[in-house]
Amino acid sequence: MTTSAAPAQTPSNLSSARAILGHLRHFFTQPERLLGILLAVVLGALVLVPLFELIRETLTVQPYDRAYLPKAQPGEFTLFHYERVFAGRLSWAIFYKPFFNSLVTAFAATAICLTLGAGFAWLIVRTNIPFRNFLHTLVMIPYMLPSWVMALAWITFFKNDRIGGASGAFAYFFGVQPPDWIAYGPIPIVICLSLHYYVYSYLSVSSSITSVDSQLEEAGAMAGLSRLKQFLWITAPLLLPAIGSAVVMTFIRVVGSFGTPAVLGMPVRYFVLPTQIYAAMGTRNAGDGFLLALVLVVLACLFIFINQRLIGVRKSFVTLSGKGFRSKEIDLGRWRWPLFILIMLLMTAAVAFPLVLLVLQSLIKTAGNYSLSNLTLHYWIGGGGEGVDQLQAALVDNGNIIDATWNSLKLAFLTAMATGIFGFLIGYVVVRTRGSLTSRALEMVAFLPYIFPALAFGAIYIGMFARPFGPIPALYGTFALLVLICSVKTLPFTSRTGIAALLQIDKSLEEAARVQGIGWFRRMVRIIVPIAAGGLLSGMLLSFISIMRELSLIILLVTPSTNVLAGVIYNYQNQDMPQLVGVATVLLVAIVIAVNLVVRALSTKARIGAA
Amino acid sequence: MTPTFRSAKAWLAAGALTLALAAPALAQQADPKWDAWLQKSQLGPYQKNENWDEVVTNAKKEGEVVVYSSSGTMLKVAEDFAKFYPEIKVKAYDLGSEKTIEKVVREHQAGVYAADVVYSGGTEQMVFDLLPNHRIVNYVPSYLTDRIAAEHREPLLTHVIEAYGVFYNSEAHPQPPMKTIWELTEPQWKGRFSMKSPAGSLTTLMMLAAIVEHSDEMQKAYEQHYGKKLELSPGVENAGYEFLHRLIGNDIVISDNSSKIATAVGLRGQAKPPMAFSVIHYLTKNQSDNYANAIPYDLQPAALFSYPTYVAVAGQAPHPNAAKLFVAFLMGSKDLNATSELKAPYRSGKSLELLQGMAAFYQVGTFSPRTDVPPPPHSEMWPKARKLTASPEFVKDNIAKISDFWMAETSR
Repeated sequence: MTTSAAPAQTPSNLSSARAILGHLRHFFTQPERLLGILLAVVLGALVLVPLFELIRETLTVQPYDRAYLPKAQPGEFTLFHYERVFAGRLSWAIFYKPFFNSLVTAFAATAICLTLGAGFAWLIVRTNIPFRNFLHTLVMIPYMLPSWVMALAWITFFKNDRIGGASGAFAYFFGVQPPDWIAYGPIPIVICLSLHYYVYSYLSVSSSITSVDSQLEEAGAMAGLSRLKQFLWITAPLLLPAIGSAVVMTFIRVVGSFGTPAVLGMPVRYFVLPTQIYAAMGTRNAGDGFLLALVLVVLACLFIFINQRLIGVRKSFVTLSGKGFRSKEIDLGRWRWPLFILIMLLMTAAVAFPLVLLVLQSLIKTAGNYSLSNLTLHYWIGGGGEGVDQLQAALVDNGNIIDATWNSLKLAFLTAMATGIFGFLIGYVVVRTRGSLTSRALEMVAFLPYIFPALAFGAIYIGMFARPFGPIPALYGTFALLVLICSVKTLPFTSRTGIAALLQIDKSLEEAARVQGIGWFRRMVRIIVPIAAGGLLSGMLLSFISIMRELSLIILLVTPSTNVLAGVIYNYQNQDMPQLVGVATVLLVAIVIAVNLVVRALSTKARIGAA
Repeated sequence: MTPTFRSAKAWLAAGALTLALAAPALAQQADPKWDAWLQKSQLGPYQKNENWDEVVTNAKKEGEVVVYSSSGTMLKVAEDFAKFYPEIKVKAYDLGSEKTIEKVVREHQAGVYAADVVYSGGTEQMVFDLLPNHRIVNYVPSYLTDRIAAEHREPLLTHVIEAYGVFYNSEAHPQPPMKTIWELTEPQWKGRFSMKSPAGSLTTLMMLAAIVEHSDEMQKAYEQHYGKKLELSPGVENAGYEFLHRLIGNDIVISDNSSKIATAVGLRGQAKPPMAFSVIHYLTKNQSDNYANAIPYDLQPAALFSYPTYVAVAGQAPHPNAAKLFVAFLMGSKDLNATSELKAPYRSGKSLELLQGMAAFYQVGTFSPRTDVPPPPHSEMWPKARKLTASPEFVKDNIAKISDFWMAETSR
């Protein structure tokens, strides 16, 4: 372009055009921006559309509402559910009381989870507590059990004569009926949830502790700080991002969990929001159910917002900066063994106790009779025997369980892969564009699926993907749809751990590489991914585990050929076949533990956990 | 629609949202495909002069049938069906009552017609939601019409009649411990009566409806037993609700599983066993596991509360003939009659040939509506025992109210 061809163009115009071009070039050489936009669009479609659907359903007349609104047509606009839930005659029963109960149990459980998880993480990663590798695997097991197992074990043990039938083990051994407040209600709910969900805090904090340079603490020691003060003033603040995500994830998960409060709360009529949602959905009062679900969504958003406010201001928690890095083991001295024994005791309660119960359950001919003569291996290896219900096929020739196991593995593996890649990219974009609107929006949206009540999410996905949706073909009935919904639902695990891991990688590392002319893709593969791998792998492992036992999310989407192990367990539970529930659950737990061990063995270099 | 808007902000926010989201909110519209499908499948008004051999031939050609079921027993029926019709692949889902309905509704809303047979209780949903909205269509095999009473084949075919019963432990109480159901609200049963939560259990809700609908009988039973007039608590409408109010107030124990309840009541060796509402087919545990469950059949006004479980062909089912064949199979064979000799185990040999899909269900507490099916063992009392049942019309108009009443009372 010459000035003669465009005489009107002044030098100033030219320079502004250049400036725009420059901006554009700058923009495109920062792949995080492009990626950010792309991810925002995809996630928007996969997460926000269902959210809008959820909101829309709370604002329209549902078929069920004819009983209340005889003149209204289904599909019309209405504020009826809002009135009924928040301001009506029944709002105390439907909303306020369960909401209050939910907050109480969730805050208590979150506090315990954080204490346990962070405490374990510190002990196992930074101190010379005995058998660290073993403990690292051990403390993650409770999360691998389906959460209702703990509750069932509790009620089997502490059951009193309130619900009748066989007496609980406690009453059997001590001859005393435990009081109702120990057997049922908020206290056991909090304990059972804590023993299950502390693993979030453990994983998040342990992967973050691993990358805290102990030279920082040594500097503190030289300045004359006591061990406690070193921890409180130096280490703890560095762990804030990890603690923040742990609190958010634990709280939201606990506040949204259904199984445990249902089992332990019902006998004393202690209701929480999820049990109310289930009740509303169960009577097909979808309007109320979705509205209560929305309350959970809003509550979670509030938590994320607070978390971002707290940690967003202190965004420079860079501990891994390419300079010297050292991690020093802390000597526990005479506390080594007592602390080890304490952890073992807790784990006996949280792991051995429910597992032994499950194994026992898989070996019993007639339920309730624990004598040796009543044990059989029939449900594992077949062969039958006297007193065995031959109609129930043993594991070895039970095509149901075997096919479902294969499906579960496939689904969990594909989901972990997909969600790992996306979680990393999201973490990268969020951290590198920190402070921008993209960053905040993306972090929020990537976290939203976490707080969706799973059943509602599944219900809405049927509608979205039964027909072609955007460029995606009709997916209903396909395995791909299961992978898609599971990936979206577990994205929060990997995006959270991705963010936490990347927060600790200083931009200078990447900039150094960029100066040397190393392209974006190679920078990712050679520098960022290896450093962030530890955190990412924990996130992927969490996805894997939670998909292995996920049920309510996909119950409406599975077809007989895509049924999964958790679905099979659910069916056996419904048909009151405790032995096969035991067999299939033990199988599920064994697989999850095995996969965990394999991942850990393969990833010692990636510094997952303490190794 | 007449809600009053409490807050202008809520109104504004909600308005903006609906505007943005109104597009997908398409109202249900008349579907010309529906009539064509009915005609092609010879269902509804087109089901005349049914040629059964033709149905079987076409079903085999279709080669598949997909069943959404509220009952796990359906998986056993599927196995039995495969023995008779190996050329037809059965895909049976056990989804529970509310998920069966949820799945059908959601799939149809999305234009997916995957199911052939829908099996669930819940009159409100099945009769007044799914049926009029063409999610299902009623189908009664022609040859069975005169063997089933009209109330059990219209508007929907009943597969089995089941019942809740009042359970007590006959070892601890050789005689029934009470004469009227109102005694359950007295102090000696405080904290010692349990039942399944009606949330998520459409059948339990039907039982509550039966109690409320038969309020007059409840009142009469009270006044006969106590010799005084029943005084209703403030805000309580009638004797049926009053009974529920007092029962819940007597520290009722709510459970999630009727099987566990039956175990809790019937286990031997208990000093103070509780009582409960439970599904009466758990009486079979008495034989299989030596439990001591019993029902006080002389209880006033009744100890049994029965409800139907329906089976229907799914709207626009892809395999309508296979669906018909499966429904017929579920109802039992043509050759079954009142004098048929049936022997346990029912799922084999001659008994299976006669009972077909009823074999897996053949036990006390799950009764065929067919007038020509011999009663299952241990059900001698069934024909003469007093039973309360909620009528579909009453359920339609009151089920939401009863559900709300339950929720408010249990959260007091």
